[in-house]
Amino acid sequence: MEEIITDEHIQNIINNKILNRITSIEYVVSEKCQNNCKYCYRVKKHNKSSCVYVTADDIDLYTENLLDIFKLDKSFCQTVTAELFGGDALLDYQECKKIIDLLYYKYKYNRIIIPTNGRLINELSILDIKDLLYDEKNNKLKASLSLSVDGEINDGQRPLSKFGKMLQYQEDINYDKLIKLSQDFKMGFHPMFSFDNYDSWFPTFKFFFDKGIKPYLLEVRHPLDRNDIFKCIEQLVMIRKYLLNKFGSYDEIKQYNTINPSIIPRGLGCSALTTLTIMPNGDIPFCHRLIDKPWVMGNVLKKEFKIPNAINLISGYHHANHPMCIKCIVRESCGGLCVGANYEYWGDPWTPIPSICDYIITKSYIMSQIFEDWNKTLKAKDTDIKILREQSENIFNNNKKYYNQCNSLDDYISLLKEKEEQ
Amino acid sequence: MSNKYDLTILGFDYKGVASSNESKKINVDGWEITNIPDDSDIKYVEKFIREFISDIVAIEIPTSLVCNLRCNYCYISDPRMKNKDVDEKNVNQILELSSQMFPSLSKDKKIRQRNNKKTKVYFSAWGAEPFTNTKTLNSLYEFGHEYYGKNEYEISLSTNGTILNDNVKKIISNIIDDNAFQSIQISLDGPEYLQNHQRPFLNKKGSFDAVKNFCSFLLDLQREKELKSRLYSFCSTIHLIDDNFSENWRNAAKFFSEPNTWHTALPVLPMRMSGEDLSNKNHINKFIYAQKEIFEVIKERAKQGVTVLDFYSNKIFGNISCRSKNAFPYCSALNTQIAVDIDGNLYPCHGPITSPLYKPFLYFGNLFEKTISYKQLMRNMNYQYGILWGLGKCEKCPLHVYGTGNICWSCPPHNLALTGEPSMDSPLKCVAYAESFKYWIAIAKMAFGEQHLEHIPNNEWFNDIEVNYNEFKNKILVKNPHNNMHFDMNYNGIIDKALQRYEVEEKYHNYGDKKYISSWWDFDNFKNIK
Repeated sequence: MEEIITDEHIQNIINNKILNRITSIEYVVSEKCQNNCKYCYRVKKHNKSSCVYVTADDIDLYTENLLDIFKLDKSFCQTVTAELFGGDALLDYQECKKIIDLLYYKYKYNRIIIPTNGRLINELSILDIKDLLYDEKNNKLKASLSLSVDGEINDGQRPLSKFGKMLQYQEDINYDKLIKLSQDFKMGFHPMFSFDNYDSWFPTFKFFFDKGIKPYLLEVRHPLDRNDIFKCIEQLVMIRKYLLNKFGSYDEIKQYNTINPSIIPRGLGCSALTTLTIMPNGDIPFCHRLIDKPWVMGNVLKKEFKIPNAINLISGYHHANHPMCIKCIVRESCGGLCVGANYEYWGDPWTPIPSICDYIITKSYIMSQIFEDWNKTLKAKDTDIKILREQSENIFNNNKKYYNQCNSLDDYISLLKEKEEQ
Repeated sequence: MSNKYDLTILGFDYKGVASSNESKKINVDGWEITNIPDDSDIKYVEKFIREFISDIVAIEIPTSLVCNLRCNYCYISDPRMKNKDVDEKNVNQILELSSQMFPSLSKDKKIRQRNNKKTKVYFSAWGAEPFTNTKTLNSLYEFGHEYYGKNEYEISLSTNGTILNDNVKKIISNIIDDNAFQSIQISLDGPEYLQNHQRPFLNKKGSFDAVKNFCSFLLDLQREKELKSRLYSFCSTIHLIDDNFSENWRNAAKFFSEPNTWHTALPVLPMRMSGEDLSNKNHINKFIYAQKEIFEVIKERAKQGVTVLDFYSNKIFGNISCRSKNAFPYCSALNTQIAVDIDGNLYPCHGPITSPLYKPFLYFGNLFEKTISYKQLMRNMNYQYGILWGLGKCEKCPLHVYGTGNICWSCPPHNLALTGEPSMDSPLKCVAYAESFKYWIAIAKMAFGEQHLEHIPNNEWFNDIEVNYNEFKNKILVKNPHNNMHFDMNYNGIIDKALQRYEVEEKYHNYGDKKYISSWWDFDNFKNIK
């Protein structure tokens, strides 16, 4: 029997449908955290896990095996970013330093990024931080940090966990120190906007912005009371207005993701489809949130990789092809929901959470009526504004608990237009 | 009790900070609807459930969970599921409650008419092997006969065709007299050596002679009752794992395309590959090679004046026993049909009943308790229709571009078997199918006439196939294939159904000019690894 499909064909499929899309390798190095954040999906998993921190030797083995599975050499690492993820990725200073050095000196990753809750560096000396992140010899940073802190007004939603208390961390964050460090070590900030705490969105943004920081804004897209939708949008309008007053140009506000329409060519607005995540047990799941067995594509310790699953998940998934999204009026300007949140809600990762869809639809319409750039984007995507308005009106009329003085959605929009930023 | 099976049983502790409370319950037409997330729009939930219940005109029931064969490719891996007694009481309870709880199955024809244009109701006796339990099968007949009457109900079943006794003969005869059998599907894999190898009895003896005897009885019955069409059709499965897969495929094609015998299956050959996942190059190569072999057999038959289509060519281009349209599949699960287990549990189809490990994924309620879990029904709807999330991969596939029917869609239970995830199939199957497509086009052109498929460029898919289609010009299968084949480019098949399911108001649909498919193949060259 002639061999029509060869090993080369299969390797081409792996290259074209899996590897060509991967821009990051994410190592989950810890399943413990100093914090017990109210909206954090990982707390439950952390409480069950016994993994405090993986070792640099583990990371070395994971990386060797990963390259082996795909028949790649170390030069692959130079084309991608390495990310360390937790729990808190900086939980174990000594081991983290070894891992950074391993990834930086041995594998020569293009970049190393570490998101952290900032607890460790809040209490470290400058010299220790420098030792961790800086390559003295070549005078450059080995790794950059992205700080997940929500600002003083929100510290209550990010209290210390028992684990954090056990390690003798202090409850208060020294923001002056973090901000100074961020300038010295090129750190970014990504405060989280929780629907449970919508009143703090604008003050949180202002807190960072007024200190010279351009934060990366992230909505925590968990189900919400539809009445709260309009409170949340009010906060976003205030942020936009504040920025427009500062800069006078729409171009300057494009970098703030939550206050802009999400235009993606295909897939998801997050990095799940371009990142290969490696869990402490060696599993390679869809993303660090969707980690149960059906969504695991392989395991680096067992040197297993399920090509069909990986092709489907990495290359095949497009949220806008789900029937609930196909019929959606803002299909072309929505980055999709968090599949991990969908999974917690339905038990199925691919079905969107309806109340968040209503939030996105309403936000799109209201923003398009107040801000010209948003309106242009929707029109460029052939969005039927009439239907979008109809749907938004329905949502408003059924859920205007906080805006009873408004007879219509138009009244509410007028109210927002008139509102001055504080 | 409504949360009888959930993913947590399998250790998937999915609930977390994004889970909504599910304290709301509503009553819809006698059903208690549970597990409704608190942030749901209750009016939508009510409408959704009412439409779902109204559309159900068919029930699959496991009237027997016993089988006398041990086929080497059987997907029922737990032998207990082929050795379990089903009680008449359970079957009767399912039938009575189904007719009460689903308006399109009501005894009252006027109620049925209000819900559906067609008033006929459908029962599928599913097994293991239905004729191992004639008591429950007879209950099914008696219920249909007494409750709905002649011409108003239909029973479908698939049998291994090895059990023939007076009870079986009587039941078959009764059902035929009520005009309630379309055809009996008999599992016959091919010639004697193949049938005996793949489908032995429990005692390892071959089953070919028993099937032959069963068919002979049905042919006699057809003559006796002066019926025009044959009472049986065949389903043939060729085991992909077998070393002789391609040879078996070819031999089965010759066997079924032999004219004027009890085993003739013309014009459409019944052979399908067993349900493996084509996940390695050896399997892919075997499959493609088998299509080449069958092409040669069909070409020979065509030269002899016998027009033949294979199973796949018919599904892609033909319309014989094929309800998919425009490259989208048709599946009745959760659409017009559901399955009820002997404990009353509701599933989209029979799959999880005989493969119990799938139950935590596919369970969505209980008929005996009159409960439906909204969350789990929605989950199942997504498994069934939400699979479109991966459909971008089809955009440039020749099967999607040129085919009008569908062979690619893989159902949730099958997906669970292939990938462990209910809405993910195996894209490596796409490689096997795309490479086989040239043979299927050639077969279709021989059967339908080349002129009717001339929009498919020869140079792209025929570069190593030589056929003189002029030889078959006057031997086409049907005179006007365009009317008979499902060329309806405005029909979106499962897309339409999916959209109906999730949102009824058509004005909100935003999928004109095939926007639903977003490119898959073109966006992947971020790094250009060769």
